[in-house]
Amino acid sequence: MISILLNILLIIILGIIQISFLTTWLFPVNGLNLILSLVIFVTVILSYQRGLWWGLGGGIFLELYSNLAFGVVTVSLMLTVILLNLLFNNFFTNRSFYSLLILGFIGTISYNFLIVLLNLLTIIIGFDAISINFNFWTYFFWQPFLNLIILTIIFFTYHISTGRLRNIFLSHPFYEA
Amino acid sequence: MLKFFRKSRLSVGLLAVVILLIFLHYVGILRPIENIVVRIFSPIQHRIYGVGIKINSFYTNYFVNKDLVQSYQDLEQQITDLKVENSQLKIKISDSVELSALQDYLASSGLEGVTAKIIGKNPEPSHQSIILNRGSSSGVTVDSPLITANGIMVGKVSNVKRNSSEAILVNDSDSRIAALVQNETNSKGIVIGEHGLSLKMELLPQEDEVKAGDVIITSGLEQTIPQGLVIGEVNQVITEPNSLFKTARVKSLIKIDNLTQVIILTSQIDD
Repeated sequence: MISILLNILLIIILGIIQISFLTTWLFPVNGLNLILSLVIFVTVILSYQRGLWWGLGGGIFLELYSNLAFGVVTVSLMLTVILLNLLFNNFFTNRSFYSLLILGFIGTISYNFLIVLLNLLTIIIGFDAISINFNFWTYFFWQPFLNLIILTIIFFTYHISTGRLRNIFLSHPFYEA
Repeated sequence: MLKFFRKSRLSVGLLAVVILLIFLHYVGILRPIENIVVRIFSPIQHRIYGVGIKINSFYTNYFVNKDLVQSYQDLEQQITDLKVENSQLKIKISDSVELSALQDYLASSGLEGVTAKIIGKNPEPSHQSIILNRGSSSGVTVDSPLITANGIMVGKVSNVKRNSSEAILVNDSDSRIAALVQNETNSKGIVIGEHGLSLKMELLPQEDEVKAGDVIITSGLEQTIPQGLVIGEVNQVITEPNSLFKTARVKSLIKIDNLTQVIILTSQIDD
């Protein structure tokens, strides 16, 4: 129970930081998606289930302040988590730093792609939706790189603070023997 | 397999929750809860936003100011460059004016000569000699006189190379010039340099009347130096009671040390 509350609190804190702090910064730092980075980190490094919960929690919090149709952010985040899980299970061998970076890059692009797709869908359905302008595409380009920086910071912070992630580099049974 | 289904169940279940929430949102049931959440967090967000703005403005100002400082430094550098350029242009103008004056003097006096730039000085301070950029290829010979634009003699060539020459100035201790005082008797004598500082005229007859202010010119007794080139003026006359000759202290009419260009007379005009 305490763990759930702590996770909710962390989601809220990160959401507030993203909405009220990072957005005040200049381009391209204001395009940082802290919640997405954390969702990717949790999914790849910790567990898929927690990733889903984080996607749900983070998405709902962001929906409160989003211009997009309600649900677009949450669904995009959760579908990103599902996609990352699929990729991780089928193409990656372990929860290494490299896996995190590659999946982080793919996850960010996928998330933005899903946002565009779902936004178009809401337009087709008939909801009021925001138009995707040039700025969006600029951030679309920048965000994967910025998120990789954030993921790196989170990874090493987590590694140092918990000591759980020993395999920063790929290990091989031959060398371990 | 069971794990996969459990995972899938979770994702499907959570997506179902999301769809339910979307439905509740658009129906309007969620609105009060959303409003409460936003209201609870808005004061904190406002503060954090203020901090973000302050940090951002500090960051922006820092870089803007940094740019301004950079611009200021660039402008200062430009001013320095312009000052140097201006100074060089002034020197060029000065040189040009001086050269023009020298050429005018040559044309008006009927003397033949070449204008020469002083390119250096003898490194030994005990000798007042200068290095000129003209040599034998320009017709310069040993003992050719050096004059300024207003016809004042300032030295004599002592050593000639093909494209340069060395000249001793009139105030050098080794300098000897046959001269005369422009007085009633045209008193003749020799102007000698004194340690690079001043001039004196020796071998003036005791009976000749020489007074301060009298102008001293070249006498023309030397083969390479024409008559009438001004050397200076008498500053003080020193008379020794038992001596056959008297001596006059001579003041040069120009500051010899400030010269940058001179005329080297290459041939004497025949009368």
